Amino acid sequence: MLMGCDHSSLVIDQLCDEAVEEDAAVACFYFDFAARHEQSPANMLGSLLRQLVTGLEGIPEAVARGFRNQKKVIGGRGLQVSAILEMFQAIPTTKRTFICVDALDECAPKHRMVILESLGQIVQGSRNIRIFVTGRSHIRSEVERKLDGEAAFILVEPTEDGIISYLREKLRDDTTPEVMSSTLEANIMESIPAISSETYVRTGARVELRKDTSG
Amino acid sequence: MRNCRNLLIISESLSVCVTNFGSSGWKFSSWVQGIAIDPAFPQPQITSLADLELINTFALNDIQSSGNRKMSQTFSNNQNSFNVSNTFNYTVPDDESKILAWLSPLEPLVRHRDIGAQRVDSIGAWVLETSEFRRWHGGSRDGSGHATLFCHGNPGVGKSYIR
Repeated sequence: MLMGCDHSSLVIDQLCDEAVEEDAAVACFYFDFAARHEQSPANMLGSLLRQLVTGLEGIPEAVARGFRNQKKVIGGRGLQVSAILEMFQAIPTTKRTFICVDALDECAPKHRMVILESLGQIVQGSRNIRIFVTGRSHIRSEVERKLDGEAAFILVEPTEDGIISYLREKLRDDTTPEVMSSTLEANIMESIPAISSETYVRTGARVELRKDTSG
Repeated sequence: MRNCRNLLIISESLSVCVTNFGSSGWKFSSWVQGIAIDPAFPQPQITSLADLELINTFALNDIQSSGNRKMSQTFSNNQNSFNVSNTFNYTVPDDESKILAWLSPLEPLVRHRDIGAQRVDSIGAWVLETSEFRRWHGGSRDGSGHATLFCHGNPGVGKSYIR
């Protein structure tokens, strides 16, 4: 997504503000390539459910029952995706409910299939649930296929204004201003927007300004 | 023993189980699962079903009134020549937090705060103004429109400078 900006975070902030005002529910999940082993479909979907349950007055009976039943197994038992989806169906969704999933492309491909199918089932279960997903464009066809007509798409490209604002902000926060000259600053402000406007920059990306101080 | 079974799971969240009740006198902690008994306090001697009922009443009242907070409760029963008198402290486990942890061990909201702190305000707000976003967002009120919105972009040249 646009440099220096995190659209999912922007959207989540927006939704969270609304949630406070008009009593909607918001659950978020951020995929991270480095955490792809622990971010299994069960952990991810369980995390969303956990956030929604946390926002309720109490633990729904279907969830409490699932917990009690697994305790009967010695040592407890990990949650299965199917059990999580059943619990999703059982929780009340009279409120508007937003589920935000960031950087889906960073999820392992085999997990991604399960997750997309599960998200599809979740939205079919309640008309009050909306899902917001971000990711690189190469997984668009997967999303299209798995959600089959249920998804709308926005292609995010950097705008020149956005890049300039971002660069200004970064230059203002420069921690080593002594090596910055007005010529260098002018070059940065001119050349980076020119390059970047031809480029799509991925979700949540941020630019690190690097100054060559050796010569 | 039949009467004992009537006491089974008086409180589901406590998993109070009295099937172990026997004449030999067993430990309080062995049947009140999930209650952390403060070992500094003497445990009540339980010699009858009436004693169990009384303890259960205390436990239930405490759960209903104050959740998982630590508390003291005076336990006293001189009825029917069963002489039980003790003060014990216990912490009722926070079953809710156990259930939430069971749902998922991951803590995603921490990440959101981190990303939010990096964001430059006002950039990218155009996404919120697109017709796709508005339809997706507004449709959640009446169930119309696409239920899922996928925002996508490509990685670009100069990726090593961007992460």
